[in-house]
Amino acid sequence: MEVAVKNSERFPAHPLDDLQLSRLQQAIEGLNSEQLVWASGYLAALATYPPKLKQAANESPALTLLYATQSGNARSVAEALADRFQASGYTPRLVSAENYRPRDLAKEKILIVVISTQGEGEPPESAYGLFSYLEGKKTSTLSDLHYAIFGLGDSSYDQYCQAGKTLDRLLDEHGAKRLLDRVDADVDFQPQAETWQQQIHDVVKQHQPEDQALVIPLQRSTPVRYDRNNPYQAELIERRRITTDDALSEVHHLNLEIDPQRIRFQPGDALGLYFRNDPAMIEELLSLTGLSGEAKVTLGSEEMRLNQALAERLELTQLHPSVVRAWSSLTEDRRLSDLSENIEQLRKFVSDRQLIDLVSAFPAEVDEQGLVKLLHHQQSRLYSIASSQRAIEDEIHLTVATLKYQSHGRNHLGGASGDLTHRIEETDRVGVYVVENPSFRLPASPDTPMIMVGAGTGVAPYRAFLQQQESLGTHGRNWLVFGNRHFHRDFLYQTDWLGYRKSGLLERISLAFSRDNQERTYVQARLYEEGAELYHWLQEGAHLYVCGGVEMERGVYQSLLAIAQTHGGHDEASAAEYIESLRTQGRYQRDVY
Amino acid sequence: MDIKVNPNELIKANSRYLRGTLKKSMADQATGALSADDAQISKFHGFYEQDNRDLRLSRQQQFLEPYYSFMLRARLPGGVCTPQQWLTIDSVGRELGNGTVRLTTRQTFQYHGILKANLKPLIKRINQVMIDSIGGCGDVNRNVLCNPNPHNSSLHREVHQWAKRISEHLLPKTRAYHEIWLDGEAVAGGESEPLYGETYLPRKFKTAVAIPPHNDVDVYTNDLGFVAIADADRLLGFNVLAGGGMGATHDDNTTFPRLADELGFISPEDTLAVAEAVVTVQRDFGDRVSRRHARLKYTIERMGLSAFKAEVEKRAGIRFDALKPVKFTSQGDRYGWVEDSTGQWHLTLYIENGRIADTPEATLMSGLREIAAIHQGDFRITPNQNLIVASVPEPQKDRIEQLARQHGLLSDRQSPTRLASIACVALPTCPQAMAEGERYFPELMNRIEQITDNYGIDKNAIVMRMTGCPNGCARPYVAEIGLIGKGPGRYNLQLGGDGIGLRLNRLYRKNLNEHELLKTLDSLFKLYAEKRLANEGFGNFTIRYGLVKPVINPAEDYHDTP
Repeated sequence: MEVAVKNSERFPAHPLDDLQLSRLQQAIEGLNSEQLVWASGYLAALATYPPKLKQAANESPALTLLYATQSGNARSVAEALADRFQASGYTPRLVSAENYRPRDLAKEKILIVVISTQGEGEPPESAYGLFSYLEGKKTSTLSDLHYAIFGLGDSSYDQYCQAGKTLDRLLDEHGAKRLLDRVDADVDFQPQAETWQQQIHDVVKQHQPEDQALVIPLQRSTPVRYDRNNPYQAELIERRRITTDDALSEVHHLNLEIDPQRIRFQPGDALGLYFRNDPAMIEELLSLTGLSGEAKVTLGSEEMRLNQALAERLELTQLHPSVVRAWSSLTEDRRLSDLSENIEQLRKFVSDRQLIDLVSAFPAEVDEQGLVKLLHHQQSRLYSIASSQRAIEDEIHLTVATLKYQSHGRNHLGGASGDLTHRIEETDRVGVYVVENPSFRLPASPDTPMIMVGAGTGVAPYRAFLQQQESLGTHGRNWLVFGNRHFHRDFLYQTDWLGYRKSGLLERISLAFSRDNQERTYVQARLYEEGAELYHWLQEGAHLYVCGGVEMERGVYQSLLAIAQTHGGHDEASAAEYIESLRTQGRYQRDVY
Repeated sequence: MDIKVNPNELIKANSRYLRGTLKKSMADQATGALSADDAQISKFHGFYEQDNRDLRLSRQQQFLEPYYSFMLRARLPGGVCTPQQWLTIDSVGRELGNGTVRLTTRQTFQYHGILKANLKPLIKRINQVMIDSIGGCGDVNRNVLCNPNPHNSSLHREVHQWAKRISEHLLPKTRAYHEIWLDGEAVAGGESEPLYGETYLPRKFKTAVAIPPHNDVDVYTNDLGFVAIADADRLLGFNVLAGGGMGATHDDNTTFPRLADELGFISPEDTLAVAEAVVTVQRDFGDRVSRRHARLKYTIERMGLSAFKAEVEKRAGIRFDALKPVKFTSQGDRYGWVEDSTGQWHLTLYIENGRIADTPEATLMSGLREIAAIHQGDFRITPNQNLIVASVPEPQKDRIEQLARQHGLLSDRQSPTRLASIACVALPTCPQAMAEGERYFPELMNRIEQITDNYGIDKNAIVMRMTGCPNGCARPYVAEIGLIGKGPGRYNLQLGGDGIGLRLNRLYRKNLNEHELLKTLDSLFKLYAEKRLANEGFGNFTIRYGLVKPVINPAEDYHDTP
């Protein structure tokens, strides 16, 4: 892919955007000259006799049958209806509410819902996401949507068929149009269901004959490059904590919406992002220094208010030794000037302090511009992307651990992680740009085995890897090695991995939870235990990926050395050479932070 | 023939005599659950897969699977165990379960919240004190009940021996349990299951032994019942009953609770042959298509009682004699100390909901541990999920009473109705539960007690039982007041049991919330206080006064209106 982009300069002026061009290049890669000649004729013919375009894979179908079931009744009604439609030439999409992405409602043409009702009128658990979306503030208008609802319930309850009624109201409120009045069916629902199935089938047939083709227009876009100097403003559409309340670490899953025409990324890539500093901290800083947030300051060639500079442009959370030195020259405090001369001590000093700790413990006189001058500019932070664009085109998923610690009488939050997980809210925007990571890539051939080793949030890129392979529909043997603290509390994305194992995408899962047992087991120890198998996989050509903290990475390297000796008959020197040869072949890839 | 056999039948048939792929499921560290098929097979080994339903939604949002754990139910015929066994039961519950021990209506104990990795160590530990969990759940004969009669210990001993023999006779013969949990040698081929066959029974099978006049085992609610007939201390034989069962499905009129039919009298030496015959008739004639209709009660309805009885006689090689007359007087426990004919003492302790735990209010678990450390007799778990400290010699009586009081095991403050009540486990662990059981019942009982106080009927015991679903673990269909969970905070109200377990109750009001329930009970208790006859129990009153029609033949009339 990166080669293709570089080569693009060879092409003369052309009507394709970068993405279209690189896709074209991919498609023709490896063709011989005879094949290329044939392909050019094929393309020319297409231009003359355009075929009817079938709907694209990511586009919603014209007819969706959605069911939300607790006991299975709603599902059976929906399945029978799907059969009926299929028999008359439709290809409806039959989907359970839990697997349905509510935002897709806006893209639907016809939506038919079969929904049951729980005890006090609640929808089944599987439909909670759908309901909270429709009840939320972010819902787009649904004026293109036509729908019908079949509600199931039990008339001995006060809130008879209430879930169906509520859904009907919500869809109506958002501008969707009823194809047929809602049916509320009692415990003995079968006769009503059959009548309704016939009715809705006929109504849909009138509304949209089955042979009507769906033509998707090709979209044109002006290529704009987003980078660290020109970040794209992505909207946070979802955030949820994915470790339990009693987990030692607080990890959040973030979902950012992007325009896929503008932002492209590949599995393994990272996302750079900017954040806003904590307003409470800024306020305290101003009050400690007696400075005015309204005062104008200059940053490079820009002029702005101090408030804005502190919030968006300056580094307040990662305290740099040079800032301590600069601050020390403003104070008379001997302790600080002594410290400034000892870099070891200084590193230790900044390791658990932020600017606010320094300013509050060592008061000094400084003016607005002086403060701006001594601070560093904010650096963007990088997070491995946890989703595949091939699978989900318009979203970027991130896995963010909140940096949180208490020291020097103060609770501290990390700059970016604090903003992302505690301060910004859904619908807020974040400045982001893609950071390519060409040294952390899926194997060129999809049937190459992969061993993916990750600790903590280091598991994020593997979610992107596997989503990618799932959407491609081809994969080799895959092995995930994951470590964290507690099986029940912080097994990040557990249900995803189990789903991939069930579908055959993931063959093997090895785990190390360090706090579940007396003796602390980490991934490197688990790898060593399973060394014979690991060596065997490597001999079969497996790619080995390691993502996580630097200490873990060192531990894994030591385990690999030991495995190569124990199971590969290497001595110490040749084991190191063996691993080095894996690295140069691109079969040992690391993403370490 | 185009009949779909129930999927459970295939799982059993393919399980290689209950081995399934349990070893593989246990070794899988990526999930706290078993494979779906193994979760069915595990029941025969005594444990159910459950998950904390309070956490289901939040964990789903967290990309975490449900918080799986296991409930293991021991096999403890007649509920009898030694103090040494109790000490192990206690420490295993503390260390490998959720820190509590739950006494059950099947006279055994169960552990909740066992993590998968702890199952094997747990089974090994209880095995060290000769307790197993074979058939604790599953489609086999379950734990055999036996009246824990504290009044007549020598008769109890003899009858209890029969309960144990029945339990052992009806045990599955597969070595799977020993292989998987106790590291026993694998059997090399040729294994067979002579009594059950490779598909075992169509459904669970429950057996009880009663010693009149006590019907604390609710003998008529069991698939197979033995009523001991004695001449003073000497056991003459048993009246045999068959076809009782509690479970039903809401809004399915083809399901119903049913009391057992009386087959006739047998001598003690025919007991095992008759038990085996009833089991094999059910094995061969039971419904293997619909699990809802698979209990013996439906088999007898289908076969007809006389054909069923004839088949049992043929298979057992006996003829039933005429029934011996029997009189039952109660289905509850009697609390406090009693002295038996040999001069030994027995202390029945009320354990609310059968839940033994240490809480800020009372240290029941520690108290029983301290009692077990000095006790020389035995413990007997009652079918009302209470506990008897049995066979205490006179000199130890005061010390045990003192420990019991000190730890809140013995208090004189409970109302007779609370003492006669039972609630099942239900939420958050039971997968069947539709409404709360033991977590809510004590609190509801507080409000009910206010009503009984108001009408001056607080000295009467009313047998009241709550379950979180219609499957009937707390035997709610033979209570004077049955509360059966219908949905969150909603219960069906059943009336008309006779207080001795010989008559089914009937649905009186459907789907009540707490407010509606208390209002209904208020008017019922008011009426009862005004119109009852002398010594008339509440259940009998509701029938006599015409509030509900008695259930005569549930297959025909159970679903009639009140």
